[in-house]
Amino acid sequence: MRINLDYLKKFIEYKYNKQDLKELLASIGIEVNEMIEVDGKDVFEVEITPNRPDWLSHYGIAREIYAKTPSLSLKKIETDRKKSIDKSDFKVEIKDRTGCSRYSGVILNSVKVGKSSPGLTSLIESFGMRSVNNIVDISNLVLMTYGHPIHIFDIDKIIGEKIIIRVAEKDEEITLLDGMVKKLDVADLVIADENKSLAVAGVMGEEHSGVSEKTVNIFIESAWFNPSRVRITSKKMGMKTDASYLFERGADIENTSKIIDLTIDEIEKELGYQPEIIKYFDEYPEKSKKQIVSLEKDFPAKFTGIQISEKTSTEILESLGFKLEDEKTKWKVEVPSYRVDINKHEDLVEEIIRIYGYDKLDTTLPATAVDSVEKYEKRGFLDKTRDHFAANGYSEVVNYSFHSLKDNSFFGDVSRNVELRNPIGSDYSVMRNSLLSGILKNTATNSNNDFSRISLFESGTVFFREGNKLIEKDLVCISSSGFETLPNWHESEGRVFDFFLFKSHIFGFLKKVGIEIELKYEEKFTGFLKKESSYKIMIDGAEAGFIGEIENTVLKYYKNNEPVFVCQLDMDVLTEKKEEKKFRMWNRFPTATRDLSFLIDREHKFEKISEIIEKYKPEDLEDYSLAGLYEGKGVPPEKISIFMNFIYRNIDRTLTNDEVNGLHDLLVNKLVEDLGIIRR
Amino acid sequence: MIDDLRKEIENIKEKLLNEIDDIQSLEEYQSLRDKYLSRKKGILASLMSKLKELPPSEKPVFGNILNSAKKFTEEKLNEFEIKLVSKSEKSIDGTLPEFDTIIGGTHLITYIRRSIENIFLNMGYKIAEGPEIEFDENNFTLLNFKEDHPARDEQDTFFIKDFPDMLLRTHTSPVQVRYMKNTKPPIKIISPGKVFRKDEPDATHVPVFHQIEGLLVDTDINFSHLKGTLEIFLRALFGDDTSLRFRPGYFPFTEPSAEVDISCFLCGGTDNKCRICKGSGWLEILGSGMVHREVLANCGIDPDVYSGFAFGLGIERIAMLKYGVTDLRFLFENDLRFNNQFG
Ligand SMILES: [Zn+2]
Repeated sequence: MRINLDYLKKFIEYKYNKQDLKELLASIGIEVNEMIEVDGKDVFEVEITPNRPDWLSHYGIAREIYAKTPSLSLKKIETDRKKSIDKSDFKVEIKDRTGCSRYSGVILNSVKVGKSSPGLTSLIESFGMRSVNNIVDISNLVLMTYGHPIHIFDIDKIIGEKIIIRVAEKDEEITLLDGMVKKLDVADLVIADENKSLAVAGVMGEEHSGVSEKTVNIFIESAWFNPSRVRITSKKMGMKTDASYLFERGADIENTSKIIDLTIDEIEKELGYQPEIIKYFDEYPEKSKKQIVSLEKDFPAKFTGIQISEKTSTEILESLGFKLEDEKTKWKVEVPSYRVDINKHEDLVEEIIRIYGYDKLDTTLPATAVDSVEKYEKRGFLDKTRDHFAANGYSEVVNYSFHSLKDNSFFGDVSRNVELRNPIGSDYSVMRNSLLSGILKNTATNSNNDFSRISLFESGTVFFREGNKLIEKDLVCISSSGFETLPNWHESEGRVFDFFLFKSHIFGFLKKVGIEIELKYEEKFTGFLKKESSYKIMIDGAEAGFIGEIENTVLKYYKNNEPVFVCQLDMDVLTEKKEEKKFRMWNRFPTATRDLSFLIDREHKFEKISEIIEKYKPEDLEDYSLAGLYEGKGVPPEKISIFMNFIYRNIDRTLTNDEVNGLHDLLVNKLVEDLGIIRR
Repeated sequence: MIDDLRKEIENIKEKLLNEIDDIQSLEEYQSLRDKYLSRKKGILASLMSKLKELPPSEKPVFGNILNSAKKFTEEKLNEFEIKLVSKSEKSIDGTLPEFDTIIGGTHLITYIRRSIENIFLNMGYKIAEGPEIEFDENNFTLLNFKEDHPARDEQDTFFIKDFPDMLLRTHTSPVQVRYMKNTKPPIKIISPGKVFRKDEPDATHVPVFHQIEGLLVDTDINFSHLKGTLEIFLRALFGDDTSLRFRPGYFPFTEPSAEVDISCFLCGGTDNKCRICKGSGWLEILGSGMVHREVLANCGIDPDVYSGFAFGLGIERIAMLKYGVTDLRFLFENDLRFNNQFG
C-alpha cells in the first residue's frame, strides 16, 4: 500500500524526516519497502501484514504513529450529519445476515460527474491509482484515507425500489465493470435489485449500474461483508480487488455509517456544492458484540521477561484506542472495533511491547534442559557417507525434487507416480522417483563445461504412491564419469573410471562402514542400466540399491556422451544393516602364499569360482584374490586365463610347507572337478 | 698361537678399511661384503676353522675376538652402504607443481546446515525431522492458518494430485507440530529440511529450498529468552560483534511475532551501495516469536501451563548473505565450478 507523506500529515502533524519515519514505522511493525517520489511528493510503499487491515489506510497509519508518540495530536474524525432525511420509498433488504451483517447507504441527487480536480487527481495518482472521474476517485480516496471500501451505483439504473443483499442463484451470470462475464453460484453474495445482480459483494460491481459520465443520481454503499465469504468468492473468481483485499482481512463494522458521511463530505468538497440527500440507510440487524479481553496485571512481565509498569501498560493500550477497566489483579480490556486481530491476552502483550519497543526487552537464556540423548543413527550415517565421498573426490549436488513424467518413466513404475496438482511446469510435474535424473543432467552440464572428471553424489528423498498411501524414501546416489585421476606431468596416463574401479569405490566405502554386500545380477532388473553391468545390491537378504552403468538410450536422453556409472543406496536399509565394529586380534604367524594359474570356460563368472572356494574353503585359507586375467594369444577363444593368489595361515602355529601344499592341492582339485579348470 | 691370530685379525680389519675406501659402485661393495662376510667363503668364516686347532682354554677367547671382528666388519660395511646409496640417489626438484588429487566436497547447503545444527546441538537442542509431503492440517490448520485466511496466500503451496489433504510442506514447522503432539515439554528442538513454495525460479526465488526452524517449550518461557537465544546463535554464526534488531512482525503461529535483523557484517551501514544491505545497515535474517497459544493447544500442550518460542531461517538466505552467492539458482544447477568452491 502507498502512503503519501504530505497527506498523512493531515491526520497527524509529525516532524520526522522520512528516514526517521521509516525507522519508526519499522519499529512498530510496518515495513517500508520503498521510498519513492510521485509528482514531487514523498510516498512510502509499505507492506501490511494480513492480520492488520486497520493499517490499510492513511488514518490507520496515523493512529499507530500517535500511539508511538502520544505527544502529537491525532486528528479526530467526527461528523454530525442528521440521519433523519427520508424522501424516498427506496429500501435495503439483507437476506443473508451472516454474509452481510451491516449495510449503510445514502441516495444523493444532482451529482455532477466529471473530471477530478487537479488536487484529487494528483492525490489518487500518488496512491498508484488511475484517476477515472470525480466520483470514482472519491470512492478510492475514502478507501485510502479511512480504510473502508465503498461502492457507488447509478441509482437510475436500478430497477425497482429496493436493494437486496442475497446469495446468487445457481449459474447466475454477471458482467463485471471490467467487462468480464463471471458465473456465480449459491455460495456467492451479491447486491441485487429486483431484476438482477448489481455487484458481487465486496469484490466488484456490475457493468451497467456503475457511475458513468451520464450519471446524475447515486447510491453510495458502505457495508460489512463476511471476510471468509468474500475470500472464497474472490479466490474462486480469480479476482483480487482493493475492496476484496480489505474485506477478506476484516473491515470495521462500526464504521460503515460514518464512512457514508465522510464520503458525502468529500463529494461536497470536490463538487463545490451540496448535492441533495434523499435518504439514509443503515441496516444493522444485530449489533456486533464488543470484544473484551481480560489481562492479568502481572502477565506482561511474565510473558516478556522484563518489568513493565502498570502505568506503562495502561498508557500504551489507551493510546492504541483500548479501553481499560481496573479489576484488582487484572484489567478488563475493551478492544476497538477496527482491531479484528485481538482476542487474547498474548495479543495485548504484543501491543504493549510493540509500542514500548522490542529493543527494550532483555536477552536471557532459558534454563530448559532435556533429559535424554538422541543417537541420530541415520543422520550420522548420512553425514559419514557424505564426508567419505566428498573426501574421495565426489562433489555433492542438490537438485529440485521434481521430475517430468518422462524422467519418472525411465526410473520406475509410472503407476506409482506422485503427481502435483499445480506444478510450475511440465518439466516439474511429478515428484522424483529416483535421484538419477538429476545426477545425469548434472553430469552432462559439467561435461559440456569441459570437466573430464565428474564424480557426484546426492542425498535426498524420492516419492512413491502405494495404493492410497504416499511413501518417502531417503536415498544416496553416487556417480562417476570420466577420469578418476586426471593425467598429470608425473603419471601421464591418468585413470579412467570403468565398472570395476567404480565398484571398488562403492564397496570400499560399504566395507569400511561395516556392511557386507552381495551383488545379485538379475536380467531385466532395470531398463536404465546396461544389461551386462546391472546389479542389485543385497545386504543380508534385503535389497539396498543397485550399481551399474547407464544404458545408452537413457544416457543420450540426458545428453551424455561418456559412460556414467551409478549406484543408488537406500539409507534406511543401510542404517539398519550396518554393524558396529569390534576389535579382532590379527594373526601373528607367518603366511604362506600359493599361486594358481588356470584356464576356465568363459561362461563361468568369477562369482562361480568364489562360490566353489567358499564352499570348500579350508580353515587355514586366510584370503584369496584375483591377481590377473588374460585372454587372447595362447588362450583358446572359449576360455579365459586366470591368475590367483591364495594365502594360508594358522592362528596357533606356523604351517609346514607340506601342510600348505596339501591344503592347496585339495582346493585346486575341487576347482578342477567342479569347474573343469585347467592348471597352467 | 692366540696372539698370532689376534694379530692376523687386526691386519684383516686394517685391510678392510683400505679396501672400503677404494670402492666405487654397489657391485664392488657387494663383492667386498661377500669377501669378508660370506658364510661359506668369507675371510672371517675361514678363520673359524682355526678354532679347532686351539687348546680348549683359548677357544672362548678366540671366539670373542672373532665375534667382535665380525661386528666391526658389519658396522663399517653398513655405514659405507648408506653413504654409497645416498650418493647414488637422484635429487628431485620439490618445487615442481603438485597435481590436484581430490576436488570433491559437500554442497554449500550441507555446509551451512551443519554449521547451524552444530551451534544448536552445542546448546542442547535436538534435531527433529519429518516428511516432505505433509497433511494440510500439520502444515497449516494446526499452525493457526485458518481455512479461509489470507495468510495462506503468502505461502504459495504445491498440492498433491488425488490426495486433497496432502501438500508439499511450505516450511518445516509441521515437524514441530508432529514433535509437540508426541512429546511432553520440555521440548528443545531444531528441524532442518527441504521446503517447497510455488515460485518460478529466479535470482532470489527457487521452488525448493531449505529451512531450519527451532522450538523451545517449557514452563515460564518468555520473550527475553527468545532474544537471548537468537543473540547467541546469530553471533556464533555471523561473528561476536553482530548486533541484533527485533521488529514486530506477523506469523499466524506466533504471538507476539518478531522479524530479526542483524547488523550488516559487510559495511556496518556505512556503504550506500552495499551489495547486501543497500546502505540500511541491517539484514533481515529470520522470523520468530512466542508460540501462539492455539498452536500449543492444537498439539495437546496446555498454553496456561507452558509457553514457548519458535524461530526459522532459510539456508539459501545465509548462502546469499554470508557466502556472497548472487543467484539462488546456482545452488541447484550443480555446476562444479560452483559446487567445488565450498565444503
Ligand atoms: Zn551493508
